[in-house]
Formats: sequence, structure tokens, C-alpha cells
Amino acid sequence: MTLRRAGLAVLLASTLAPAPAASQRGPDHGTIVIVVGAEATTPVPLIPLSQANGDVQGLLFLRLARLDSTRTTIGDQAFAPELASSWTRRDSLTLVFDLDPRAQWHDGRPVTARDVVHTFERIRMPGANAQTNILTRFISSVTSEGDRRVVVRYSRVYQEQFYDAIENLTPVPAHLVDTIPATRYPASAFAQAPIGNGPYRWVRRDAGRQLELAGVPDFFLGQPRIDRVIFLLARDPEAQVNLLLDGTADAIENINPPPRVSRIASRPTLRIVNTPTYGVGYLLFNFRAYGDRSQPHPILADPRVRRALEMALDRERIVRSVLGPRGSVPEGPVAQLHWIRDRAWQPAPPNPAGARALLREAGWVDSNGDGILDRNGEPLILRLNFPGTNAVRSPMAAQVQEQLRHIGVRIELVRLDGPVWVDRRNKGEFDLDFSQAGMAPTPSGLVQSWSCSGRNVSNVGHYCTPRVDSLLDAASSTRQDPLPLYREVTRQIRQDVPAIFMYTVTNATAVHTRFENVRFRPEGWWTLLWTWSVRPGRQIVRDRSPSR
Amino acid sequence: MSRWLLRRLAQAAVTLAGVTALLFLLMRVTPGDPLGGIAGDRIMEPAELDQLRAQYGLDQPIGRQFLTFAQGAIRGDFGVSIHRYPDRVSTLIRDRLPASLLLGGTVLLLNFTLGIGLGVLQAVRRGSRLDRWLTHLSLAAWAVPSFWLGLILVAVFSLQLGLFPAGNMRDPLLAADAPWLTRTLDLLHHMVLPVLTLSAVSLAAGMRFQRTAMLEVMRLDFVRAARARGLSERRVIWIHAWRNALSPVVTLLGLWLPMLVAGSIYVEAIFNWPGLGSLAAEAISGRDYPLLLGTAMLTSVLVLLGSLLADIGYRLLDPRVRNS
Repeated sequence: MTLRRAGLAVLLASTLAPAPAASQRGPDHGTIVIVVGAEATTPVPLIPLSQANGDVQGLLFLRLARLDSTRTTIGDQAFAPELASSWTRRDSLTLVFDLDPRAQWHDGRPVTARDVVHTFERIRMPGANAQTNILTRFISSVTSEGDRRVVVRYSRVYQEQFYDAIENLTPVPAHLVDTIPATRYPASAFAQAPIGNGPYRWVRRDAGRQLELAGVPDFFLGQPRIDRVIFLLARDPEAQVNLLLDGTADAIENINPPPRVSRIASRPTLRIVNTPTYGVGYLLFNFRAYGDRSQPHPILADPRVRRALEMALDRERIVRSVLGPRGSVPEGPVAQLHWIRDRAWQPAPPNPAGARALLREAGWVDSNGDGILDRNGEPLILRLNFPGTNAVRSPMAAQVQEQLRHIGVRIELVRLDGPVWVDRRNKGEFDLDFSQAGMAPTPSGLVQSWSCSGRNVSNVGHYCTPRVDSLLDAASSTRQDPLPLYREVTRQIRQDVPAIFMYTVTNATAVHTRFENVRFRPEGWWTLLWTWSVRPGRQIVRDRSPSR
Repeated sequence: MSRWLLRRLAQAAVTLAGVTALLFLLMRVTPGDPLGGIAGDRIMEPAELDQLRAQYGLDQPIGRQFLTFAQGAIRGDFGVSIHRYPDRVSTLIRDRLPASLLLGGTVLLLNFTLGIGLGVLQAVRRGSRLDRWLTHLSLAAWAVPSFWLGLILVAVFSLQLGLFPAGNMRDPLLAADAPWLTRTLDLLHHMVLPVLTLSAVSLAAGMRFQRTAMLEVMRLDFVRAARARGLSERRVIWIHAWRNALSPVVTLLGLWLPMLVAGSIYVEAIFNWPGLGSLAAEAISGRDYPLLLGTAMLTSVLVLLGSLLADIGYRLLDPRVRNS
């Protein structure tokens, strides 16, 4: 690296524009090159977020407010100001936001209440994104009172009114987009070269290569010290790590599993920052017959079988062997960061003997001595679908197969290409499916995957228990603290075993050691980048080169 | 010649149309939903999926989808990429083509200069120590999988010695308006390892083909006759023997031409080279129908073009083919 740097430095020094004076870029200012595996093509609000778009959008656009460190999504208090400097509640159905008068779009126009009103109108336009429309279904109107005051009215009383507004009403500049029809919005020039109001402004995108942002010097919440950001696209995980190791890049968002982490951690110029996430991995049971939703599953419809499979697995051992210290066994469909998480909960130790007994009770015995349990001549064989390229789920699936073999259950591993895996999951063509959900901070999303109403939508396993539905309904509409209700939902789901909840994951992000104040927000991974800086005396050539 | 050429072009056009139709149908029967992975781990609502299907025309009957695609393809418009919406496929191909042409073209140029030159040298010095060494080297290079070689080169020359970048086509921090010389040197610096990786195998093939062809030709009577007439050895080799030993290499050229754009998917992935090979791989893994069809059609065109150029080469080199 030294030789290459030296040679190239001489070359570049002779040809680059004159180095900027210290006054242009302060001693704690810098440039960061972030390696990403997917490309942001439309990093603007109101388009369903891919992670790549979300990473960039979080730097370009601010919300009215954001979750504070408690990440509680209920009430109006656990939030920190962004575009809105304050808010008040007029009544149980009306929230009022006062916009910060310093907030500006990157073209110099002020952010006004009209922008927020237009954003809501755009969500309701024919042809607008269906998902956002559904997520804002309880917002009945958004109006302005003057230039700075936004009034949001709801059609029902519920605990997450505030969260729904800040999560889904990220303002877009009305003066730039109000003439763009909803159907043309995703392909518009604005969507491909956005003008935002966040700490960074758009510079350019070289399709398939990189995307560049520049810090906004007069950003009203503070000047970004990292004033040049480059998202460098590298799809291959090995290439990503190599680019980091050879000094081309400064950071990678997620480098799990452990072998890659240790390869990077051995470099003195790099460090690993562990950050909990909203991700949960689980083995989903199909309650319906393989590929035929009109029939119950001949094996898995029996709760004793599902419970036995869960009891037989040593989940902690599996998680430790694949994710090391960056994984843990979840209590249910609850991620590490969810505020409803019960931190006192501990997984029960594996109990293969109990699992065998339960299976025997359900009629599964090894009648022919071949090591596989059978009932009425049918062996206990289950197909486990998983995306074959996934570095976490693939090795875990193999261990699940091995552990269940010991209790006489044969698991056939069905390693699938990503789109085929998704296709089969949506069609119900699986016995067990190794899913991973990147969940939203709100527990209300449990409705989609674990309620009767979610069947044929996100609830592809067709789990349906009326008690869970009524508990979720009560939790979303109660005026009291819904925590006990959500905990009860989790308990009921654990009892019914619609899935074996395998792991929650902590992201290991690799970052160059010259950066300080390095923090991440799992709701928007790089959104705190503007608060980072370069340690005094640690600037490298790229930190001193001119920003655009 | 012109009538023959027109006939060949017409055949190529018919073949291309057939291949396109077949590719279109095969893609639709291949398992996997192109919208499946578009939202990552999130399972999309049916309304959202319906909206996306309409957006990409996937809600239309397959016949109409093909017609729409064919009408666009004739104009060079393959539609919009699904996973890179709203980028147009033709734009993506146009953006990636220079990188592929540069890498593939350099490799091809090396094959046809160094590969042929060394092959001829080996044949001329058959049995010498140089011939034996080059034979061993070329066999070894031929036997090495290019992705493995690429990884080793990165590990040694980039991560250990720090001589070359581990990937990319250019320094991401280099300004687009940097001086021409800087950009060129930076590009060359980034090209060394991928070119070395791709050339190693194909260069070895070129050397082997050329050596064998030359040895066969040099045994023939007309070479002996040329020597008997007192012609210089250089003239005998390059004017008489080499010209007649070019046919197998011309065949190889036809086979190598598609490599110009398709490149090597693995090598492009290892070096993060922004070429068409990695674009095609991305299209395959995501079932991005329009992008997949666009890249596959381009490869088909190059296969047909390679075959046509090889045939033209035969006719120019060998009067017997011309007169048959």
C-alpha cells in the first residue's frame, strides 16, 4: 500500500488542482469513501425504500422529527427535532408541528408548511406508491397555518400518531415537484438528482460505479465535518473487503460473518463498530400444505411437532458459531432495538429428549429403525428453503439439519437463488423457510406477518390465532401503555411456535480509525455522518483535497 | 463476395431474431420472480406488487410483452431495468461498454501480438529450452482458473505489496476534470491486475494454437520450397508459413470477440470492474428481464459478428475457401 500510495501521490500531486488552503477544509474535516453492495438510483422520499436508497436519502432529506435514543414509537415525547423545532397536541386527533425557520432546501428556498402539505397530497395522488398510502391511512389531512405551522389530523386515536407522521411525511420540495405527476415521479429528474434539505447535497452519480454527496456548509443544525461522501459500488463481498483493505475505501456498513470481521479487525487503520439492528432471522413454519393453501400442512399443522423442533435446537450454539458475539437468540419476532423487547427473557436450554417425547406423543416413531421418524408409513421429512448465497443463513441451515437429525427428523436443505427463494416463499412452496426480516421500529408491523389479516400478504406461513389478532388490535388502539399487550403478543406467538426465532444480529461496520465521534442510527445508517470528524493530525491526502 | 456477405448478414439477422425470441421465452419460464428481491427482506403488499407489475409491463400477456420488447429492441431500446429503475437498459449498456471494450480489447490485443509472436517463436525454435519453458508456462497458465489467479494477484500485488489497486477502474476520488495524463495513468494502474488475470489464460491458448498451426505448416512442401529458393528465414516464416498458419487463430478470434463485452463475470467481480459481464451477472441473479435480454442480445450479436469476421478472415487468407 505504501509503495502504491507513494507512486501515485507523486503523480497526482503533479497534476491535481492546487491543494486547498487550511481555511478551505478545516483540520478536522475529511472525505469518506463508503463501499456499498447496492446502488441508490432514486434516493428520495415517497418511493419505497431499498436499503441503498435509504442510506443516501437519510443524508439528503430530513424528517419532521426522529426517534430519540429510546426508540419508543408511541406518544409524542420520545422524539428529537429535525425540520420541526417543536410540536404540540391540540387534541387526541390533531398534532401541530412548527418548522424550524432556519431549514432550507439546497437551492436556497426555505422549507415551508406548503412542502409538508404537498407531500401528503402527493401520497394521496392516483398512481402514487401504494405502500406509503397504506402506512398513512389514519392521517386524514395535513394543512398549513402560515408558512411554518403544519397541522396533521388523524381519523382515529392511536398511540403511534406521531411516529406515523414523522416516518411517512418526509417533506419534498413542493416548488420543484408539484408539476410532476405521481406516476412519473420515480423516473423524474428530481428523483435522480434530488434537491434535499439535509446535511448533504447531491453532487453526481456515475451509474454502476459511485455516487457523490457534498456537505452543506450552512446546514442549520451544524456544519458537516465530513464534507465529501462517496458511496462506492462493489457488489462482490470479497471485492468490498479488498477495497477497504487496500485503502481505496474508508468504511463498509456490514461485514458479518466473523471470518471477514477478523480479517478487517487485524488492520491497525481500521476498527469495527458494533451496532444492534432491527433484523431478526427465523425458521418459518408453513401451516398450509406445500404449494397448496387449501389444505393444512400434514406435519406442521400439529403444534407438538413445531414445538419439538424448537426444543431440539441448540439455537445459542448455532448463533454463536455463525455470528460469534454479534448474534443472540430473540424472544420472538422482536429485534434487539425494539422498545417492546423483554431484556430479562432467556431462551430455554435445548431439550432433545423432551422433543423426542413430544414427537412420540404426536405419533412419530422410528418404526423401521432407519433413524428417521415415521407415522403411518410416512417419514418425517421437511424441506427447508433458504437463499443459498446468504453467508449467515446457509451455515445455520446446515447446523439445523444436523441437530434435527439427532431426533430423527430429516431436513432437506433447498438452497435457492434469491428470486426463486422469494417466489417460493410467496407461493407457499416450503415446509420451513429461513427468513430474515429487517423490521421497522414500530411493533405495529407485527400485524402484517403474524396476524390472520396478514395471510396472503406478509404472513406467508398462514399462522392465525384470533388471540394474537385481538391483542394486536388492542395494542394499536389503547390509550394506555401498550407494552404489556405487545409482550403478551410475543408470549402467545412463542407459545404457538409459528416459527423458530433463530437470531438477532448486530451489524459490524468497519471504519477507518482517523474518524471520531463515529455513531450509527439503525433507522438510517449513515444519517449521523455529519456529526463525525477527523481526529486532529490524522488527516490523509483525500481529507485535504478540495471539496466540491 | 458482396452477395455472400449479404446472405451471411441475412442469416445472422434471422438467427438473432430466433435467439431473442428463445431468450425471451426461456426467461419467462425460468423460476423466480423479478420483483421478488426488489424490496430486500420486506414482503411487499399485493397492491404494491400489482403497481410494480403494471409499471414494468409484467401484467401484460406474454405475447404483448414480447411485441413491446421487440419493437423497442429494433430501435435499440430494451426498456427500463427493474432493479435499477429508472435507468434504461440501453443507457446502462452504453455506460458499461467502454469499460468492457477497454479490458477485453487490451486482452485481445495482447493475445494477438504477444500470443502469436511467442507461438511463432516456439514453433521456430521447436525443442529448444525456450520452447520447453514457454510450453510449461503456457500449460500452467491455461490450467489456472482465472478467478483463482485474480484472487492471488490481489492478495500479493495489492494487499501485500501495495503495488496495484485491489479493484475499480479508477480512483474514486479522482476528479472527472483531472488532467488527461493523470486519468490515463490512473486507468493504466487500475488495469494491470485484471488484464494480467484475463490474459494469462487466453494468451496461453493463443500461444498453443499458433505454435501447433505453425509446426504443421512448416512441415509442408511449400515452406521447404521457399527455403530452397534461397529466401531469407524471416521471409519464409512470416510471409509464407505464418500466413498459412493463421486460420486456427482466426477461428480463435471469432470465439474471443464476445469476450470483449461479456468479459469474465468472475474477474469483473473480483476487481470490481464496471463492465458488461458484472452487469449481466447482476441481471441474472435478480431476474432483471429487460437488462438480461439487453446484455444477452449484445452477446448474441457479438457471437454472430465473431463468426462472420472469422469467415471473412478465412476467405481473405485462403483462396480455396473463396473459390469453393
